[in-house]
Amino acid sequence: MSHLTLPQNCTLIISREPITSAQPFYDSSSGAIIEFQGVVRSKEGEKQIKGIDYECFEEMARVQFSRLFFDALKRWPINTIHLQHRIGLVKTGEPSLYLRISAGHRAEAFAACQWIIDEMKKTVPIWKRPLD
Amino acid sequence: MTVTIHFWAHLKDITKAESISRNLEVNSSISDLLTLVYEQYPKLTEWDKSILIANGTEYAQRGDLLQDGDIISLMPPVQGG
Repeated sequence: MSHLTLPQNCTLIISREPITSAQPFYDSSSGAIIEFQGVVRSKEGEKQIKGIDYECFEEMARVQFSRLFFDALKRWPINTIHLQHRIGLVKTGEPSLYLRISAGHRAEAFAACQWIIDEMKKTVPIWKRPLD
Repeated sequence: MTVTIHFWAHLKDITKAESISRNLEVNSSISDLLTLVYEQYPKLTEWDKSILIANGTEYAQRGDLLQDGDIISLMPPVQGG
């Protein structure tokens, strides 16, 4: 069984608590900070929904997120990664995912942000259950 | 040897159980385990092509050999975000 720890400059929160806006975080080596929020839409396909219930295999999710963060840090010269994923019921219009990446320049920050979300959707064990 | 199997998300809806345990012969593989599980829950075979498998917290392959005490998770495709 793996017990990967997070890279030193990365933080991860998996919680049932609502995602609150992160405090501004600036440092003189980061010329770019990308913030992404994934929000629950009111429609899943053509169907109107009230929210999404997120189920998570949390122990494995932490290992897989950690691996993604290590890989991202190898691929791009980024300074920090902060990711928060909400689990349990998330109502429409509320964010389920918050990702903030800081880097020296915007290109690597945008690229890493896109890549982490794409890979998360392939490997991190979280599932959605839309609620009517 | 004894192996524990955890079912996640929609697979748990089919099994109506979060986990079960099964006894297998030494040198059994995850494929052997799947055969036993599918015998008990035939409806799971509908997910066979897309099912994800983990041993502990790491993804595993069907050919991987099992060890006594392994905890195997069977999962539908992930959908985070």
